[in-house]
Amino acid sequence: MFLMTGEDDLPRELLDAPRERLLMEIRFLRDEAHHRRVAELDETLRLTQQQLRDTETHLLHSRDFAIGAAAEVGEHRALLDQEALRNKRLKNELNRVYKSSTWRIGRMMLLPVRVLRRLSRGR
Amino acid sequence: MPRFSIVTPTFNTPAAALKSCISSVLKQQFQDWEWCIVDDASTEPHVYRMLSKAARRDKRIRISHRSQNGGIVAASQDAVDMALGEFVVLLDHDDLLHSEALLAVDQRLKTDPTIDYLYTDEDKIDNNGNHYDVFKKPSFDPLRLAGQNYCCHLSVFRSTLLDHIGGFRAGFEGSQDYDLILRATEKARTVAHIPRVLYHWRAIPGSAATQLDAKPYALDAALRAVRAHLERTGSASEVAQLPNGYVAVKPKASTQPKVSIVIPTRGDTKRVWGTYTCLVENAVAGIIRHTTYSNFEVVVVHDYKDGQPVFPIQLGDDSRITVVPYQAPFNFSDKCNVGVKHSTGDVIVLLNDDIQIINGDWLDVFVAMLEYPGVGMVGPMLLLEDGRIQSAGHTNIPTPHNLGTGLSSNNPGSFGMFALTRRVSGVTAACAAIPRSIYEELGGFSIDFPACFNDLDFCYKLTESGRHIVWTPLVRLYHFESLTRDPTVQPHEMQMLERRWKRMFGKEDYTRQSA
Repeated sequence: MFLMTGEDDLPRELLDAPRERLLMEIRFLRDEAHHRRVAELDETLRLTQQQLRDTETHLLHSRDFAIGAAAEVGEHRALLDQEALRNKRLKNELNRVYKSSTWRIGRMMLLPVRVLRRLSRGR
Repeated sequence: MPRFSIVTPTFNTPAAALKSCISSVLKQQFQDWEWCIVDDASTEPHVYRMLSKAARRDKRIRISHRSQNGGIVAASQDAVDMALGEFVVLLDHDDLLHSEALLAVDQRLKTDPTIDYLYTDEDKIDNNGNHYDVFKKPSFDPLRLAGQNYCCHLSVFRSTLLDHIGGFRAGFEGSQDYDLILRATEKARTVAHIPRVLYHWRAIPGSAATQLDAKPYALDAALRAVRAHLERTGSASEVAQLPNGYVAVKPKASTQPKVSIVIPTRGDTKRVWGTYTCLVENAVAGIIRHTTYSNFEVVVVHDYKDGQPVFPIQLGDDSRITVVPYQAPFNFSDKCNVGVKHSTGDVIVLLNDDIQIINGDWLDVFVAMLEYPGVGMVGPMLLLEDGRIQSAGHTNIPTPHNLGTGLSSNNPGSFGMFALTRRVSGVTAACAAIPRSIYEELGGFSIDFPACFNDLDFCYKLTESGRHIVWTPLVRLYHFESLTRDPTVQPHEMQMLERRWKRMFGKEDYTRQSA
């Protein structure tokens, strides 16, 4: 069998070859071109599948990243809630102290001192 | 109409026990209640005397005397029929209520108007008044309830729900409350749990609280109640009585989706049961030889370096096996993701190479359990080489760790935790079944956890998405743990886990009980 690339390359023996021989040659060339195309397409398919898998894997990682980021936000929010709760508790405690008789008596006992200090500042 | 109707059937109750029972009700801090007591023709005269005295003392106590003994179901139903309250509270004639029981229940009910059934933690009390066997129960878990009446005491039902389901049923004597709870939870809009001991179950010799075989007819009734429950809910399952009194429910899958078993491996050979064995070859050979499920494939992700396998492996000539070369530096999560991407099944089973399957129907059980509503992941009982437990799921208390490690696998565990299929906070990725759609939706395993905690992270992601994780002892596998890699935790992995999920540590809905 011969591989033809142009008229100049035509094998001499094919010039006078019988019809059957030429038909066989044509079939061979068609099959060969077909196989080459199939191989090319297979390779393209393989690469595309690989690209698709890579893209899907990236998508998977991106999803994980997004969910992970949301989880981190949740973590910060939980900390914030904890701090808010602590602040509220401290505020309540402070209010309780302000309302206590100990605090009020103390304020009353220190009233002359506060008046004197204000007067001395006035001078 | 009172808020609560406490219902109690009595029959020849010991005087001391009845006295403490009455006292515990009268000490309730919450006052809006009535107590409907039906005496089932007691022959001991002190019962009539004590009940009459109590009724004279407090108008909220209403007594009815049956003319002849009708058994626990008839007496209980008579008591329910007397109830006028919005909620019905079940109290046995010799047990005790915590003084804050009704108060705590009322407070919880006020938080959600759709609660139709509520249960609390409980403990046992002996004749000397000593408390023991505290049962810190899980949040509502219908799978566990099908294997064990864990809700039991204290149970509170919305009256309209009891009317709707028809109250107690004859024929379930000894397990009438189990049957009632199963039917109630099928119809309840919301089932709530108060994680606090509000009920003290008296354990007297011969009572069901002390020995299982005290009422063998009760075990039979329990089995029938579970069968009836599964029929009503349309779950095709095999049901069997376990030796420790629990019920084993093995579901059957309605379809046979393709299962992809993904095994990341380096191809190591290690000593297993005294013989040097290529772990992945051993695992795959076991799967091919013993698995009864027909529609599966095995995807082995094999470490390669410079175009050559790190350790060569021979997996046999089976069209169901695919080997995917993995060239990148070690990252368990990435290997799992690559394996999943090369697989085609609707269900993914992640499997370590240092695993050996024990029961052939493992995939059948996994697939069937993934059909339960809301379930996103199923894990098995993993055993060490010597048959002790390696992992029976995860718990977050006090920090995330495997349950049951080192304990005997014949031990049912505290309140049956190792004998029953149940919800857990997590399972290990050494063997876990996950629907592909969920795996992909959640971004697979995080590559930020190359060696450790990738499974924990995934479980947290799954739980956050509102799905449940199920652990089952019906599937058992050997896990020759960490034979293939360094079990040391890298500091950055711990930091990453804390950055994402520290709020979850110490919080546990399903395994509050220590093993």
